[in-house]
Amino acid sequence: MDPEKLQVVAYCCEYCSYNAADLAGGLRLQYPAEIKVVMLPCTGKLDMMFIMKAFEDGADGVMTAG
Amino acid sequence: MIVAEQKSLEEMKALISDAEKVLVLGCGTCVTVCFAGGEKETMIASSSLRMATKLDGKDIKIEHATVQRQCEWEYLDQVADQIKDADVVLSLGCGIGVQAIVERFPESWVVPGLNTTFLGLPSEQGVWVERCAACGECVLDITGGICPIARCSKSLMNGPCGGSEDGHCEIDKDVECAWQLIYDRLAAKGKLDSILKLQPPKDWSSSRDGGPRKIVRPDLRFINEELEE
Repeated sequence: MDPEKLQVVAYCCEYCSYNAADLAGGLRLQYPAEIKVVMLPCTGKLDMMFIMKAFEDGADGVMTAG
Repeated sequence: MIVAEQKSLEEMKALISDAEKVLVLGCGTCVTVCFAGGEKETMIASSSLRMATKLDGKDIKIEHATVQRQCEWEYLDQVADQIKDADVVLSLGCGIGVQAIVERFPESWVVPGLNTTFLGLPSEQGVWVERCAACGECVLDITGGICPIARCSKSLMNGPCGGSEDGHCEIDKDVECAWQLIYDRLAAKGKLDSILKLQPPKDWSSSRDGGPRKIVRPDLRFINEELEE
């Protein structure tokens, strides 16, 4: 599988990593379009089902940052 | 509470292998608090089975639902349509739940997703221990609130036996000797005379030896049912 085609869902905390992703966008920094960022109010909100759902819907990987 | 453990994903896959439509049905009572078959475990098991069967190249429609208590028909009736619509109901309730579904919906095929294990309590986070054997004639008054039926490996009524060593049972050094616990507790409470009296052989007819058990409470029955009798 082409690593550049891997679909990754990134669950990011609103107060840190999501802001970083937002800032990256503001600075016009490029990151792969295959990374789908999902904002969480806190990574403590991350539920097992969010991860299962991502895989079930075809994600190749899930990352969480917070 | 009734304590149970989930069967492995492989076992659950085998149980639903011939089905086209599956309902994974959780229970919101005992197996929720022992993290075996509650709402979350049911969602995860359902999702895992969907992915696992898809990877095996099978096209099985797997849905999930959780009722407050599988062992009462009124709660099962709330998901009657889903039960009837499924080829197989994979119950994540205890063995009572499985049988309650079968009795209420005899046309449905119901399989157990859990291994019902014992009656017990959580002694610490992630650890459950057996505390009651449902023998039908409670002796906890004699033994200071520590059950010799469930906790003594031999269910002795006059213990300890010769296999008790340093407070532990001969079957496993990690198993506490129930009779040592009973002795220590009664000694601390100044009630050792409670176990000085020799206990006669226990009447096991109130337990499983008497066959399947039943309780009838006439005061709780509907009047018309009483009249019919």
